[in-house]
Amino acid sequence: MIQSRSLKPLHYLVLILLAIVILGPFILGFWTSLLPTADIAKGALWSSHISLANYAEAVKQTAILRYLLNSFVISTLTMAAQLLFCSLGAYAFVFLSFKGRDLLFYLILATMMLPFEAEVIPNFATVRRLNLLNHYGVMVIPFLTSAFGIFMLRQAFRQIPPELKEAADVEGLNHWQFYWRVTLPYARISLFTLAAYSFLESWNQYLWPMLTTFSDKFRPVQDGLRQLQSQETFNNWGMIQASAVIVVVPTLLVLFIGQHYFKNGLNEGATK
Amino acid sequence: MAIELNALGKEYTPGNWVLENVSAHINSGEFFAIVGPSGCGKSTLLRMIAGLIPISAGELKIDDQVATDLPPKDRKLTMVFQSYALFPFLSVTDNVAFGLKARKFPAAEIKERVDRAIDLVNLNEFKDRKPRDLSGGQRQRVALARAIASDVKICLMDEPLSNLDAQLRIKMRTELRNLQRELGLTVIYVTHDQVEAMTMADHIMVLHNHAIQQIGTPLEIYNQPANTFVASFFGTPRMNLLPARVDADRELLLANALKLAVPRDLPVADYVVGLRPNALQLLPAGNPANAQVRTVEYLGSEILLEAEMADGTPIELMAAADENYQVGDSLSVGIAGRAYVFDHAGQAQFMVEGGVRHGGNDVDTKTAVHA
Repeated sequence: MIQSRSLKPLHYLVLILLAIVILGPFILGFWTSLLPTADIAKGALWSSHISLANYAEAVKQTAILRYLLNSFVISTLTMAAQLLFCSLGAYAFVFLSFKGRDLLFYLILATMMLPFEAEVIPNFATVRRLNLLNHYGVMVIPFLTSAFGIFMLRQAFRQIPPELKEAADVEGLNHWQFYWRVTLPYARISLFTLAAYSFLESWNQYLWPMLTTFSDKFRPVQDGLRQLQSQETFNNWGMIQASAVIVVVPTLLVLFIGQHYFKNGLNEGATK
Repeated sequence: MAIELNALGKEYTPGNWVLENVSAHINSGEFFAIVGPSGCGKSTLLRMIAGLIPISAGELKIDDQVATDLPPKDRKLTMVFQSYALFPFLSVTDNVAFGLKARKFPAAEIKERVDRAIDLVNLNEFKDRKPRDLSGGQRQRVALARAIASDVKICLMDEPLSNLDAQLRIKMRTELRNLQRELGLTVIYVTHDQVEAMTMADHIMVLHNHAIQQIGTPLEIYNQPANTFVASFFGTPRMNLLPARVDADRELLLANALKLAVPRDLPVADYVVGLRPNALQLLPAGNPANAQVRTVEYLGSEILLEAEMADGTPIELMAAADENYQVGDSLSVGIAGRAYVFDHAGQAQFMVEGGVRHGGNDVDTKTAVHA
């Protein structure tokens, strides 16, 4: 105990340093979004004209709201689809026994080893053939399920005591009922985690939408931001910063809400 | 709701029988215990009856209907698990109502049944709690309430009390038994605890080595064990099993030290004689010593002595609590109770009532034969 008390200041020092490293750029970005572009260009960190003018300008002059809507639609659809398909897949790998089950699972795991960048070209060829380019579908359909999600939920479902399945069998629950009424509520913490993860992953997509969308109608936020920068000959940095902040806010919300559930989940604990 | 097991068998891999030729008749309203050491297949047998594990051979009849291949839900039974199998995300009420909802009972009837079941197990105050906020005993009651809330009359229990502490277990035994009588349930109860089986059951099935060793009432099992396994499994402290050989006409010599008169001529062979600790007697000093104390356990009202006969056979016997024994003391042990004679394969042959003392040819031996 004495040892841990003497280590405490050190722990805090490390935590404070990490917090500065991580939060510093974000605070700087947020602060500059309140400054007039003229002052930013001068390299000043203080201005007498602190205002939300950049935000108003971003909303008025750019398609940022459209980008937000696009990203919201894409991320929500991706998240919902991943929750459904990953949980169904994981259920099959845990509660159904069929020939080649483990082999199939390892095959799916193996796809996790392949970086997405390596699949970009064949995927692009496929979606072009399917006439999906420049459409919401092109950003949702390739991501309907994920090997990581299946893996994560399989681990969570394996925690379910076999007696619960037996009890449900005695009561006559079929697989769909057991999936819906026992498996999902039992593993809801993992489902929340996967939901947050897949939403953020989809929200932060950059490479794939850049290749497959050509108009503001379907362009998601990250590529929209990039668009702001190159469109103007003179970069309106204050406005770009304001847009960046707008784009980051939903991710922070998801993280905070997710963290809240996650903390609750730790206390949930399975009963012996 | 009688249950008939007809030569049930289970093999997981061909030719590798986990259970073989298990036959029994379980009467309606009976408390039937399946007892055996861990790994004897008792839980497997229970799950075969429940339909959770397919039956490889034989026939199962529930209420005169062949149920061998019926899915669990059509067998009209409920099950209580060792780990209780409560749904952690549901309140007590919802846990109890779970099966009824799954079977699509009308809401009003569900409420009535659930309330009654919760009332029966005295959990009224805890209706809205989640399982994690309950103690072990309360969780156990929820599991019980879930079983009795349904209208089915057969309840299978898989070591339902083994996760409770000793005091609570004894209390729950009585409660469980009363509840079973009150509701007229047919209970099949799996346990490894012979005391539980003895105190609760109408009939006991003893499983060992993939097969039934004996079926009988607790009294029959205790008083007339069919073989050495049953004899040593039931009763605390355990029955002493002493090697014996025919010494003279109608006389067996146990552990090269104790003589036991038997009522009939025996073929010359090796035998095993079972003597419960209370059927052994300490003879007053002056008699020749034939055993040595190894450990002394004070049980409060008595002392349990573990001793070793001269030929190395370990025995256990009881002594009065006010006597003083030390490890290494020499004892003179005699027979003063019922002796069970088993053949060399451990099958019961007959019993000898009364006491045959140390050496000599006493005449005060009354003998009784039980084949």
